[in-house]
Amino acid sequence: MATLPTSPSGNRTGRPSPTDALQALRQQGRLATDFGNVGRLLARLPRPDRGRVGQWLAQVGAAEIATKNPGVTSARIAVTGTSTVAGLVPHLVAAGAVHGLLIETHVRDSHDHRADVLNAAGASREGPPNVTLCLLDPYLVFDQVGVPWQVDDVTRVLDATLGELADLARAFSRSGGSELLVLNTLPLSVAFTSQLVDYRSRSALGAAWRRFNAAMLELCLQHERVVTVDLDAVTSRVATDSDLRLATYARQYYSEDALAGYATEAVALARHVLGRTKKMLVLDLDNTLWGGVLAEDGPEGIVLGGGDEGGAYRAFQRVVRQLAAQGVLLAVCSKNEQNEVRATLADHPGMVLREEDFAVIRANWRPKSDNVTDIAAVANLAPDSFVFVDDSAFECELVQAEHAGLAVVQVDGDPALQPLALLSEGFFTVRELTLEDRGRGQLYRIEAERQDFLSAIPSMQDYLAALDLHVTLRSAREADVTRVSQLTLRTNQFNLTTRRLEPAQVRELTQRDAKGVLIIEADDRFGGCGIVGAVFTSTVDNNLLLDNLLLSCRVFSRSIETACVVALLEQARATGLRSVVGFHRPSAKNHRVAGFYPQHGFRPADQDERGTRFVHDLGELPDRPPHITLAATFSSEE
Amino acid sequence: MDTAAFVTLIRDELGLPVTPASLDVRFDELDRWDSVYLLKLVASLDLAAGRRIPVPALLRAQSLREVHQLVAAGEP
Repeated sequence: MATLPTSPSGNRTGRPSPTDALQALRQQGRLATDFGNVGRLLARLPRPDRGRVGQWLAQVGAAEIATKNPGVTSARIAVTGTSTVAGLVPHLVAAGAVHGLLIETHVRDSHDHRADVLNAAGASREGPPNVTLCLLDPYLVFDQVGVPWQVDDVTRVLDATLGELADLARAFSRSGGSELLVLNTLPLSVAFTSQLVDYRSRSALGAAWRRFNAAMLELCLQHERVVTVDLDAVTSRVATDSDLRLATYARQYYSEDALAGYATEAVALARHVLGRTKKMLVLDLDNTLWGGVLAEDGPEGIVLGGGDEGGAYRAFQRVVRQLAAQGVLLAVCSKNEQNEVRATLADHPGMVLREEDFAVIRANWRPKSDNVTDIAAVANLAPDSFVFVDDSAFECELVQAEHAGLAVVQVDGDPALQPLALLSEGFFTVRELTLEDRGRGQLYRIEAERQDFLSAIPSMQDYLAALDLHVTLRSAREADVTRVSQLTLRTNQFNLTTRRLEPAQVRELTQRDAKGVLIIEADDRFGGCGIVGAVFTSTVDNNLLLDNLLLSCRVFSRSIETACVVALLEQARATGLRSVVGFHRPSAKNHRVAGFYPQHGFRPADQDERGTRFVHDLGELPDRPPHITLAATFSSEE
Repeated sequence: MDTAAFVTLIRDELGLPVTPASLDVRFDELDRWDSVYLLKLVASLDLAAGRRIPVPALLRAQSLREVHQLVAAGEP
């Protein structure tokens, strides 16, 4: 009988293996009520083994799980493809559960993948899918090749297929509906190449095939709402061979392992669309960034840099550095003496990461769950945007128990396995990086300098005055579109309506009205902060509607938002508008801005289940914050 | 593989609450059955039988009883 392998880390600590615990939950009928726990257990299973539990969850049904878990975030995913795709569903459900995400799938299997993609918008009563998957397989090509065939025949079909898929991407981009279309490259199986007995032809086929795949990957450079998953990269880390019996008799080309790898990518993209990409990597030191225990072995005794194992820890540090260069913030959370850690970060010749690479360093003997709270406060981020890496099962469980939604990567013993353990879940996957991402670590380090400066100044008022803060409020330009979209996707706390926008949607708003999208830039004595916020407006019947207002958590508590709202109110009054209207739609994260409009002289006008509408009659305007010099340049462009 | 072990395998693989009484129910009348489930069973049936199950015959099966018979067919 097939049984799932037992997790070695499970038995060592005496707790039940994740497999046994999941079986028990199923037998007790608690898969829906214990959905969060199911996800945490699934995270400890090897990925190919997760599909079965996904099948159980699919049996229970998304509706039942949603009923039993009122606060759970759902992602709607439309699934179609060129052959049997239903087998993907359990893998998607499992990959979602690992991240605490409830996946509602809508399978469209009409054997016309183009129509399925374009019709997916109407798949669900709740609204268009967040993501539409169109799983392509090599039969899409080989079904159209006659027999006998030569490489030229395949090349012709590849060209035609590419043209059709490019048309599909264009048609999708013009349509409303789903936020992202996910296509994929096609694997070239030995089942096809080996039908050619000569190596020249095999090479020509391989080259033509890769040209097609390269063109597929380039599709997403042309279309902002289209993503191509590189299946070579997904399937090289799992078994690639499909079961040819299933491929032949049931038209299910991809193996369970490949489907599991693909599902992880798809769910990472769904998390991106929903604004649930992780932002900060919180790292243990001993037996995580280096081997051994600093407090016992001393800086000379830890395993790092030279030798096989020392080189493996160094390789892990290089991967962390690579992530940091792409906007992932780093923190240290370690049970150690602070001064010893600082000395090791500064002086150890084997270190790749240095003190300046970390936004926050917490090395002390307090419980790690407290340190995570502290790191969250300093970085102004919620702990559920953290990935916590530690070799101790005890610390991982403690931190996860205290901080719902925080992801845990337990590394256990072999540093060679750590890079993929960290990377393979796609915690930090986004569609596109911005300039701000590449400089984010630097921005947070400047922020640390600001905080040091603050601690030397007696009052907040003096601090703000000394900051010499300049704020610009101006119409968004084409070059700002990606960053504005990203702000809507990443910002959770200071986000009055939490409306997520893809770049194409932002662009449409900028084109509709010069004031449609206003961006907020800030500079102070420490340097530029870049684009730190945005205001979305529209004018209806002589009233200015503030459709949304959002501000990066980096720049809270400096009254930048007040300066901007006052400028908008002043401008509205100067141009003879009747009123300014603002909205607050409560989310799980934005409660701190519930009082934003009342604090600025707006009165609540009406309320429905989605939120509250506030109106400012432009009578008495709030004071401008005295410490901010504001330049508003949106009015002159009309 | 006896009936009890087969029922357990189906419950474990698919999460379907089947019982020995479900074995003779035709798939089109079996609660929550989906034809794609047969595909999910191939790998575990291969393992249970210790040989490759004939997939075309599996896809023609009309009930879990017929699936069980395919697994049992090669047993001594």
